Amino acid sequence: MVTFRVEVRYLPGVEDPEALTVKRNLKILGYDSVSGVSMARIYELTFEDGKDAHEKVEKLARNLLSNPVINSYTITETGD
Amino acid sequence: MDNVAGYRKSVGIIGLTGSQLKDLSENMALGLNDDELRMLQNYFSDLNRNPTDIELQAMAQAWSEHCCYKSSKFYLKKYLSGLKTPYTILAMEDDAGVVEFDSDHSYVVKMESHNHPSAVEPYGGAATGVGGILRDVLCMGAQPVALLDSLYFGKPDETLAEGLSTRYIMNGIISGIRDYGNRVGIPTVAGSIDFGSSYAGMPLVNVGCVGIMKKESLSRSRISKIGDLLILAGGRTGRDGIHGVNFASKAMMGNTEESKRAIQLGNPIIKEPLIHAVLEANEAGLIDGMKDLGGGGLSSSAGEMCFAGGTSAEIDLSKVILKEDSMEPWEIWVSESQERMLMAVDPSNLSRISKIFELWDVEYSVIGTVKEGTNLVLKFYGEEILNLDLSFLTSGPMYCRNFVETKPSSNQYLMPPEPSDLNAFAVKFMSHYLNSSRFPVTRQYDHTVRGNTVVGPEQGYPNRETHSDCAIIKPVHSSFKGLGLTSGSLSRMVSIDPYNGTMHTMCEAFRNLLSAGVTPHAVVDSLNFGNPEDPEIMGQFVSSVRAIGDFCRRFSLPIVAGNVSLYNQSMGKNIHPTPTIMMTGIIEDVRNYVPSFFTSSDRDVYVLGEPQTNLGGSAYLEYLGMDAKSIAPLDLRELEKITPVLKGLQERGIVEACHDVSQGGLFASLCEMSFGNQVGIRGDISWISGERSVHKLFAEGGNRFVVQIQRKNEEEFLKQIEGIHHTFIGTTEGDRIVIADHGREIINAGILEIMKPWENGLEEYF
Repeated sequence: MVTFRVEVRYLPGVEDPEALTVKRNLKILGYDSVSGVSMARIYELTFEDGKDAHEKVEKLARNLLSNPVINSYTITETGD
Repeated sequence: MDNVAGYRKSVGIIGLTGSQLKDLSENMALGLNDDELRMLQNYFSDLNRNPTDIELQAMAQAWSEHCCYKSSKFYLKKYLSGLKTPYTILAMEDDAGVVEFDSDHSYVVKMESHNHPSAVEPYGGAATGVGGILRDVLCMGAQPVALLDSLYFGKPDETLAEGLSTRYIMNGIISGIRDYGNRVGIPTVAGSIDFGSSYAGMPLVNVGCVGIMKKESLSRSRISKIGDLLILAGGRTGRDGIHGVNFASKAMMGNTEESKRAIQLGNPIIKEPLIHAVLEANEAGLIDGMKDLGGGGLSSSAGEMCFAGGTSAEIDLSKVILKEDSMEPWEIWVSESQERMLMAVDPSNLSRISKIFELWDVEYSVIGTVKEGTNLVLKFYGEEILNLDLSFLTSGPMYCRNFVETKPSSNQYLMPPEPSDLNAFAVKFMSHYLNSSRFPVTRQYDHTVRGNTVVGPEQGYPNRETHSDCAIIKPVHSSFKGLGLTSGSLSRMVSIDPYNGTMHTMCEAFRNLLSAGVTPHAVVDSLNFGNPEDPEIMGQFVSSVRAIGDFCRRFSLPIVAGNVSLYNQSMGKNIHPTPTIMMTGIIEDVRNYVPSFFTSSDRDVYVLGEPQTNLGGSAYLEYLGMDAKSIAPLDLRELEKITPVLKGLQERGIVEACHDVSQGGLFASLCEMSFGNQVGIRGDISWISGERSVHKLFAEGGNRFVVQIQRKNEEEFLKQIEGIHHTFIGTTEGDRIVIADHGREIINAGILEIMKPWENGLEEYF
């Protein structure tokens, strides 16, 4: 068994309305010192069989979990 | 490229050979052809200097097909100019058309295509299409009140050899429209969805918008007051959408990284407060001129606004608020980032308008001033980086491209196979995606937000809805006067016979409004064609535009706005010519609209208009996979005759329900009318003609209306329609659809037997 962690985030220059709203609300609540907020989605994918798993995760992340127009992703193996 | 100093980057083009120029155009992604590059070279040779990089980029934007209509404007002028009526306020001048609604109000309409971005990134492309059309209406000073969209997809059951699958594209586009429209709080009320192989990989997304305003609130897309400040408000400027217009102006090269960079990213959460802020500032009279930033970005908006008002401007690009640091000045200038508006404001009003923007939490900055003179000047941290004559920048080349108009072959009569069990076939045919209900799509859209929608995309009793012919909205609170809206295209017919097919498209829009008791009022076109460098495609375009002009002249309708999208190709093949026609109409009292379904049983059903038997361009032939070489001719005199008579009968309540015959033929119309209130029909089509049953049931086109009347009014009805071809079809009764022909029952099915599969026909593709 092998587990991968795929982190999908926005590319630089792409606005994240959710994060901007969090930042704005923090400011309203008085947390002026927070100068930036960003958010990311994390997927954990577990394979029973580790065979070709690397390639499969890469393909999934590229075609399904992220949108290349606005997202970048990183894949890390988190072990058995 | 050599650095003259700091930000000013001069590009040596004087003295370059043709092939060197071509390389340069490719390296800088300018998308200009050889002749245009030569024109630029000559121009700068005369000035005795080389252009800067930003000057070249600005020229490339302004001269792209998308911005200057270089292939189409000659023919648009030739056939569509001078189509104005006394109630037209602005036609084909600014960002959108403006038409009188009542003595105090005008409405603003526009439709635009967003095809190329949607082909690469369906979700984002379609969403920004909605965002863009809202801004076009907003920048005239109007409150957007309704959206509509005509969509064309590849066949959902066909698998493609390459590229994105049709189902992926379709789902993406529909969710994009849904998410943007629903979040921004403007209802999506009407439109059309069609399928055809030629749209595989090259979907068409035509988005329309209607807005309403007080007549005096009209804001022009021009800057004419010297000394005004230029304010850029709304979203920040980023690297998204750079070269969008250049890329939409050439043949698609597949799903490359470069094409992905050309996609703009929408953000409805910023748009919503921007709409409020802009309308409030405009209402207070603080805005002297306003234009949205769409294709071509600042470059195209600022240039066109000044040129239209006979002024020029000095703009400091370092004042533009950015999404990311370290953007090159040329990137800022041509970026097509969304949700931005450029406005001219008197310096004395700056503090008042700032307060409004701050209240609505909308970011803005003063980026320049309006000057006298002919040259637009751009600065970046004090350094001059662009200095161009506006008339040269905005005029653009004009092509009178070669074209051949295809002559449809002589009337060819097709004898397609007739199914042995018509009853079983009819059920299957109605549930096929060509004819099935569009509910799985329209039910994702919010069509009632704002509370102005009287008739949405569906009507009928709860849980028994059927399709509406057109949407009706009531835009002014204090009056019952309504606006009818419809849009669509009969592209199968247009591909067989561009001129007559476009006529059929115009008639269909006209009939959609008429059926509901709405009087057609104004026309907007969104013309989608293939590669204009191919004379045959250019021929389709010219025939189509000619037909639109002829129809509008005949029925005294103004063409108030339009848009042309060329180079729609997929895998080297051109799309079917697709002129989408959006038509608006007026109904004096929305409470009197005529339903599109049988309201009760024991009523007589008639068909008005000459029967049609030519199956060319019909869904029936498409379903069977057969081609046709001709389509039914169209008799406009008949439509002229029917129009006032039908209207009179509707107003007097004699015609209780009315639906036109379109996709799927007479059979589909009768079914749809039965669905709305589960009232069946017992009909006989032998009275129509002696043709084969399939022709009578499934032929499309013509000027046909199915009407429901009460028996006690029959005498009066027949008196009124004297001289108009009419056929008695049967009576409404029970809960079955029963149709006989020549003494034989050919169809006999329960309403639900047909309706359930029809309702869910599209479901499996989502």
